[in-house]
Amino acid sequence: MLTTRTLFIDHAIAGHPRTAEIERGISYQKRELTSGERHPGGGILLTRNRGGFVKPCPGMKGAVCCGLWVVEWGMGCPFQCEYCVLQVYQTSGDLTLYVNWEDCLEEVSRLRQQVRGPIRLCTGEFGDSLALEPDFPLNTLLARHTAGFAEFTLELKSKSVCIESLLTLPETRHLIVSFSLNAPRIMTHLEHGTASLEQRLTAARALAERGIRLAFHFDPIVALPGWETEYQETVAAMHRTLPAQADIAWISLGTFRFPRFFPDRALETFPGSILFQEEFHPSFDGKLRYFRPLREQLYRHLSRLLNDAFPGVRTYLCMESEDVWERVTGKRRHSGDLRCLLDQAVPCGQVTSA
Amino acid sequence: MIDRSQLVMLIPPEAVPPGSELADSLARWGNAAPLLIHGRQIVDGIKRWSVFSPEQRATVPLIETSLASPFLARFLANASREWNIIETALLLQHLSESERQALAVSRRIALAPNLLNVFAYLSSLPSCWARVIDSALPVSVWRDLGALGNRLGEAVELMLTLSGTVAEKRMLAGLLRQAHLRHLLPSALASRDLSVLLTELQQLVSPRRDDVKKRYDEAIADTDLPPNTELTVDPVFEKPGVTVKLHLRRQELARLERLRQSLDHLFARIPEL
Repeated sequence: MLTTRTLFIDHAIAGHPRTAEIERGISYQKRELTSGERHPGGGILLTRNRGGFVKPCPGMKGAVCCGLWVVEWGMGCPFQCEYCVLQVYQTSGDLTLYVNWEDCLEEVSRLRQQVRGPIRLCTGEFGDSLALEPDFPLNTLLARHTAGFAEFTLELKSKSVCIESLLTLPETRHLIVSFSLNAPRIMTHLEHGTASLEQRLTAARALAERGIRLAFHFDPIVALPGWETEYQETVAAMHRTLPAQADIAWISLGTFRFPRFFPDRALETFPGSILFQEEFHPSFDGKLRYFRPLREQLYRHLSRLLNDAFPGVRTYLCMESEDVWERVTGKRRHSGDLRCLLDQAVPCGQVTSA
Repeated sequence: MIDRSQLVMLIPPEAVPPGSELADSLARWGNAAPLLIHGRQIVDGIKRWSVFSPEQRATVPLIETSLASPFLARFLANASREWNIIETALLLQHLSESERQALAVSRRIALAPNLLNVFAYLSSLPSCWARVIDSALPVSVWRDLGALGNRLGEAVELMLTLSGTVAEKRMLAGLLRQAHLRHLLPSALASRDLSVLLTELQQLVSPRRDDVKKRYDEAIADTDLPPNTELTVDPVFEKPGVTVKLHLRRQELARLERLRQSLDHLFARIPEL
């Protein structure tokens, strides 16, 4: 059950049947009626999404972009990851949840009708996909709704192990459940409230045994002293835990990056954070990133580990420049190339419900 | 009836120094605009009041603001002109949260915690106001300094005493901030000149970049580039490769081969390029 100090309810959805349903799953001290989508701060806001639910992933200028579509189901996360940029947009712990899911489903159907070719849709851009699933089961609904969509993949990205509702889905060929992974020390000390490495991998194994496809995201890769050995431990744990028949759609790699004034906000919340000990420089999109040769070293090391453990698996760099792609992989890749690479993992199928 | 001898200024006149042009202009052309007051406080017209002659003080028209907050009245009356950093800092201390947000939008500044730290610090130190205003440092410099926690006072003093350009001080503030973030700030910062301090801090905060830069400089020194060749690299090596500028005449085409060999040599020595 979600716990909060104040539950804010937007007048616009106060009478919506789903509001009462979601409200029953939230334990709160105070309930306040409010107006609009702006979070008053200090609690959970149930509101109506007055804009669009489905958006193209906001790839930055200069980056090789994977062409993902994202669902804006709300914003916020019950976890407190020290590196998470959501801190800039919303006070840590605050959640905004949209309850007009019918509009979301309609938009997803419309997306399938209007966009030609493979579609990869993800719900993990504005918060953890599955952490809220027991009380806010939009992802399970989306998975049911999109089952049978042609050339369509729904990716649920998480650091939680709330997978129970997915295990009973009748159709999962279009589903990819992805887990964010990191070096053990990062997961323990910087990802507050999340499931441990073992728990995530055990959940991944359960999904794989059920025939559900997996993906993994090493993002952000954090270069703390000893990173080579630490990431090796994680990859070894993956290899040890995942069943041989696990179908891994892709593994992404992205190094820690942030907008210029992110450290102010992060250090306000986590004053002793060890995140900013390395050397950072302005990069191709204006964000601060590790020194480019260090990034290449990180990518090469992880790519090698992953290729040794999972030969032939699709790995890609997230939000990196064409230059870095070329220096790491030996091939110059454009956004179109990356889209094609990932689209190959999207199953074909017949439209039954779009 | 307002007793003009009892009028006081809403913010200290040191925060808004009038400059010599204002006194000259008032002496030559007189004063036409009224002062805005709130009770006994001069809300707008502080600069003029501080340079008025006794006669001008006695005759200047006064208008009383109807707003409850004199600080809000000053903000609104001056919304369209440039403000110095001290004036901004002082006003912010007295505005409500929503008024502060409006001021931030109007001044185009983000009220990050660091900036609020440095504003609070500067407001409490009238003795340095004149130097702060005179320095004309941009908000970004102050915001960087605001991240320095208990080293803030030292850094502000450094910024006001070292001689250097605004660009150099902007770079210094950025380096101080990075060094502080990474717990690398030297225990004493004073008694250095700006260029020495910049070099020292640069080496502290970007050893990886400096190592490549040093090797690059050494390689360039050993490379037999054709005459009139200019090579430039991205200063933080984010963009790999070099940019080459070479002017050639028809009879100098052989220099292209020499250039190719030089670049081969350079790329071999600096794999990061």
